[in-house]
Amino acid sequence: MFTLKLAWRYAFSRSNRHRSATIVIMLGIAVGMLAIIIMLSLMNRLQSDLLDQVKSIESFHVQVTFPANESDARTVDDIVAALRGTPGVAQVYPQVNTQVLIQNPATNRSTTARLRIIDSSIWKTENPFSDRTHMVRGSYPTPLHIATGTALATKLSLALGDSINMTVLGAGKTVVLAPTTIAVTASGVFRTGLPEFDSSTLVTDLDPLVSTIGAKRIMYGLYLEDGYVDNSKQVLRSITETFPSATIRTWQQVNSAFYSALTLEKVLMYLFLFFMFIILAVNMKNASSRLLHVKQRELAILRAVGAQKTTATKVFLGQTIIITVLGETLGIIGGVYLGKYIGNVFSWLNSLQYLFTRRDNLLLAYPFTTEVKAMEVALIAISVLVLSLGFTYLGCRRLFRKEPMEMLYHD
Amino acid sequence: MNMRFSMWLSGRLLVPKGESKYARLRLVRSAALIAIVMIPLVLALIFMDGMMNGITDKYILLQDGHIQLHVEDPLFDSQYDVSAIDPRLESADYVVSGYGIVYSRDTTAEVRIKGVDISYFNENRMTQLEFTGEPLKKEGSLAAVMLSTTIAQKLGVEVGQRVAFMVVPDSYSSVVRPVLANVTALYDSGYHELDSSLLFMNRDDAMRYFPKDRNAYTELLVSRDHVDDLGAIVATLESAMDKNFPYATWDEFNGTVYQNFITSRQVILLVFMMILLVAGVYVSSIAQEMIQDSMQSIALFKTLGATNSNLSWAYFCSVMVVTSIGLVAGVSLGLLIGSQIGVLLHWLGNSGLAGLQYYLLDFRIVISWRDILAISFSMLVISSVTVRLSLGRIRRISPLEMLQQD
Amino acid sequence: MTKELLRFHTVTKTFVSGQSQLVILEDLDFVLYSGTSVAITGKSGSGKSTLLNIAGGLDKPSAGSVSFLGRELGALNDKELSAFRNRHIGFVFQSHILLDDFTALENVCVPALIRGARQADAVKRAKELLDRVGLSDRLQHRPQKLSGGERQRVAICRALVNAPDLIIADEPTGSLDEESSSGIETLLTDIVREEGKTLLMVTHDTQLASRCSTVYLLHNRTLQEME
Repeated sequence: MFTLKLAWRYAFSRSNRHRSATIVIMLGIAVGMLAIIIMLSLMNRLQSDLLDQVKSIESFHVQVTFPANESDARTVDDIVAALRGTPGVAQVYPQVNTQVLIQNPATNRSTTARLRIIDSSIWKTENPFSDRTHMVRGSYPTPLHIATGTALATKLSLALGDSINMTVLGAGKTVVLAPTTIAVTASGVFRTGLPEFDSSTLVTDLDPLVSTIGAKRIMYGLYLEDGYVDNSKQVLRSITETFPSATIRTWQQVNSAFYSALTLEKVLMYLFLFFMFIILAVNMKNASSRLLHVKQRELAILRAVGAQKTTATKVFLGQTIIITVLGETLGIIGGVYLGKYIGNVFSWLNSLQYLFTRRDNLLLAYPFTTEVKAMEVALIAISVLVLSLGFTYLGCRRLFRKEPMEMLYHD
Repeated sequence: MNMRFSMWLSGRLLVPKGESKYARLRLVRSAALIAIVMIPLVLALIFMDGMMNGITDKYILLQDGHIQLHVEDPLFDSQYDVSAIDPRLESADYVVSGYGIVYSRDTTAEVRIKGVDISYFNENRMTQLEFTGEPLKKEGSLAAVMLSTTIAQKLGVEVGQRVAFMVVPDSYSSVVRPVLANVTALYDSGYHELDSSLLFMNRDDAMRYFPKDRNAYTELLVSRDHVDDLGAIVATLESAMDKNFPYATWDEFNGTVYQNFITSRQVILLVFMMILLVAGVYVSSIAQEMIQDSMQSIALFKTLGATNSNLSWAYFCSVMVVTSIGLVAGVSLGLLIGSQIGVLLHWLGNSGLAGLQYYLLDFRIVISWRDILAISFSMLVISSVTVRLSLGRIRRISPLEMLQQD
Repeated sequence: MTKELLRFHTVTKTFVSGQSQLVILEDLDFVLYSGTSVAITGKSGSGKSTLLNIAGGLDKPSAGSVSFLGRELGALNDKELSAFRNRHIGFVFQSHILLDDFTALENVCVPALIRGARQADAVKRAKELLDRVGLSDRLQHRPQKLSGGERQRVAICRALVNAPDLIIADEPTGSLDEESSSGIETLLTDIVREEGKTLLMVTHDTQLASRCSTVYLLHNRTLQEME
C-alpha cells in the first residue's frame, strides 16, 4: 500500500514538478488508445460487413464440388440431402455459376454477365442470401425467368417482362463447351448491397438450364449454422467422410486473396497506430529518468529508514502502471463512446468541410458504424502496458543496478 | 521585443557547451525520434502515391487512355504526329473495343476485348507491360489475340495455342457463334486486377465482331503534366479539325477506382495526422524538460530584465529548430530509403502472399512533394501549438523563487 | 549634483500564510539619493531582503508606493518593469547566482544582450569590466571552475555592465571567507564610487557597512538611521 501511495504521489503530487509530464503522458496514451480503437473498430466493421456480404451472397460458407469425370449414381437431391444431414450445415443450394452474353433486343443493349443458376428455394427460405437481397422490382425467378442486379438492369435498360437472349456455354456433343442461345424473360430486379454482384449477375432457377449446362458443373453452396461459419473444421471433416472425392473449399479459401489483402491492411494499420505508443514510451522513459534524478535523495532516505531495495523499483514501475492504466482506461472509454456516435461525428465534420468546399466528402458522408472487439482492445492495452514498463525500465535501469544510497556519493 | 537576446539564448540552448552532456544528448535524441517518426510516414506516402499513380497509369495506358473521342472512323493514321496539333498530346490510336467470353476446353473468362493496331504499343505503353511472343501477328484467317498471363493460366493455354471466344453480338444478330483465335503472345502488366479481364486483339479482326458505330473510338494520351487540361485539349482538337467530338475522360471511365484512391488517400492522411498529433505532444515535452532544467536560469534572466516573451521565443525557436532538423532528417532518409523501395517490393512480390495481388508492386517511384510538404507543415504547426502551450510555464517562474529568502 | 533616485512612501509588506498574516514592513518611508551608498542592517528575518526586492522591482508592496526617478513602479506593467530592472538596477546576490552553463564572459554579457546591445559591444564592455576586477584570464571559465570570490567578482561585473543607476547588493560577502570578503568589499565600494553609482546594500558585516555613507537599522518593521 505504501509503495502504491508513493507511486501515486510521485506521479500526481501538486508539489512535484513531474506532475505535468505525467499528465501529458497519460493524455497521450488516452489519445493514442482512442485513435487506435476508433480506427480498428471502423476497420473491423467495414471488413466484417464486407466479408459477411461476400460469404452470404457471393461465395457461401462452404463450396462442395465433385470431379467432372466421376460417375456417381447419386442424384443432385441425394447429394443435397446428405449434405444437409451433416452436423453444422444449415442449408444447401446446388448451383452453377457461368459467364453469359446477354442481348436486350428491345433496347439494342448487350453485355457479358455472370449467370447464377440456383434452386429458387433460396429466395423463399430464410438464409443469409435472402436476408441481404432485396427484390427492388418484380419477383424472384422461376424457370426460364431471370432476376438481374440493379446496375446490370440499368446497363441493359431492362424492363420487367423484357425478353432477352442469353448465350451460355454448355456441354456440347463433341466439345466440352459449346454456346447455346436461350430466350429468357426478366422477372425481377434485385439489390444485394454488393456493387460488383449487382453490376454483373443474373439469377435464374436450376431447371431447365442445369441440363443445358451440365450437371457435372454443379457446385453445392452450403450455409453453416452460427458458430461453425468461422470454425468449420468439424463440418469439413464430416463432409469428407461422406464424400471422399469431393473438393471442399471454405469461404476463406474461396476468397483467400481478398481475405489476405484485408488482413494485410489491418496489420499495417496496427503497425502504424502502434507507432504512436513508441513515441509515448520514449516520453515515459525520459520522464522516469528525470524523476529518478530528482528523487534519488528521497529514495536514499527511504533506504536509510529501512525500505527495501526493491521498494524504489516497485515505486517507479508502479507509477508507470498507474499512468498507463489510467490513460488506457480514459482512452478506451472515450474510444468506445466516440465509436458509438462516430457517424454523428463524421457527419458534423462533413458539414464543417462543406462550408469551405461546398461539396460532400464521400468518406465523411459514409454511414460508418464500429465494431469493438474486446480481445483486440485487451491485447493492445496489454502490449502498451508492457511497452511502457519496458521503457520505464530503460529510463531507470541504473536504479535497478545500484544502491540508491550510492547515487548520493557524487553529490 | 528584443530578438537579438532571444536568438542568442536560442543559439546557446541549441548548442550547449562544456559539460552539458545530458542537454546535448537530449537534443540529439529528440531530433532522432522525430526523424524516426517521419521516415515511415514518408515511405508510406511514396508507396501510396507510387502505387496509385502506377495503377492509374496502367488503366490509362492499357485500358482507357486519357480521352476517348467517340467518332466511329479513324481521325488520324497511325503515323500521324498529333503533337503537331497540340504539344500536350502524345499519341492518338484508333481502337475497337467490346466485351466477350473467352474459353478453352473447360474454363471460361469474361474479358474486355480491345482491338488495336501493333502501333498501339508505343514507347509509353511498353513501359507498362512485358510480353512474350509476337503480339497480334496475323497468321491465317484466325483472329490474333494477346492474352494476359493471368487469363492464360486460368484457361490453361500458351502462345501458339488456340482459344475460342464469344463476343457480345450486335443487335441485328441474335445468334452467337463462337470464334477461334490464335494466341500469338502473352503479356503481363504486373497488376492482376487489370490483367484478369483485358485481352488485345488485332484491330482488323476486332472490327469484324464489333460494329464500329458503337464500339470504335480514338484513344488519346496526353503528357503527364497536362492531365488536368483534358477539356482544353479536346477544345484545341475541335478547333483544329473544325469538328465537335463527343468525348469522355479517364476519371469518368474509372470513377470507382478514382474515388477509391481519393478515399484511401484521405484515410491514410487521417492516420498520419493522429500520429503527428502524438508526435506534437512529444515535442512539447521536450520544451517542458528544457524549461524545467533551466528554471533557475530563467528566474535569473527575468531578474536581469528579460521579458516573458524574450524567453518564450528563445525556447520556442530552439525546440522548433530541433523539430525542423528531425523533420528534414526524417524526410531525407525516408526519401532515400523510398527510392530503393523497389527492392523490398520485389521481395514482397516473390513472397507469394495471395493478398498482394490486389496491389501493384512494380511501379515508378513518385514523390508527391505536395503531400510531403503537407505532412511536414502539419507537423510544424501541431508542434508549434503544443510547444506554445507548454511555454506558459515560463510565465509562472518568479524571480523571487531563485533568491533564497530569509 | 545629487537627485532623488528612489523613494519609499508608507510602504507596507504583508505575507499571508493560511489564516495568519505576517507584517514584514509597515508604513516605511525612505529616500535614496543618487551617488550615495546606503547599508541596511538588522536581525535575521527582519525584512531586509524584502525591502531590497521591493526596491529592485522584484516584489510589490502590499500598501504604499515606490518610485524610481519620479516614476511609480506600481504603475509599470511586466514589460516596463523588466526594462526598468535591466537598465536601472544591477543586482549582486549573496550566493552570486551565476548561470552555470555560461562562461564568465557570457554571464557578464547577458544583461547587455537583454537590453539589445550588439554582441560585439556587449563582449567589449564585459571584457573591460572583468579586466578591471582582475579576471581577464578567466573569461572562458565556467562558474564551477571559479572560486567563491571570483564568482562574486563576475556577479559585480554583471551588475555594472548596463551602467545602471542603482546597485542593489544583498549580503554580497555573506558566503565568502574573510580574505575574499575583504577583497569584495573594497572592489564593490571602490567601483561604485568610481562609476558614480548609488549603492543600496544589506549586510551583517559592520566593516562593510561602515564604508557606506549612511547605515540604517531595519527594526520593528521600520528603518532607523544609525550614527
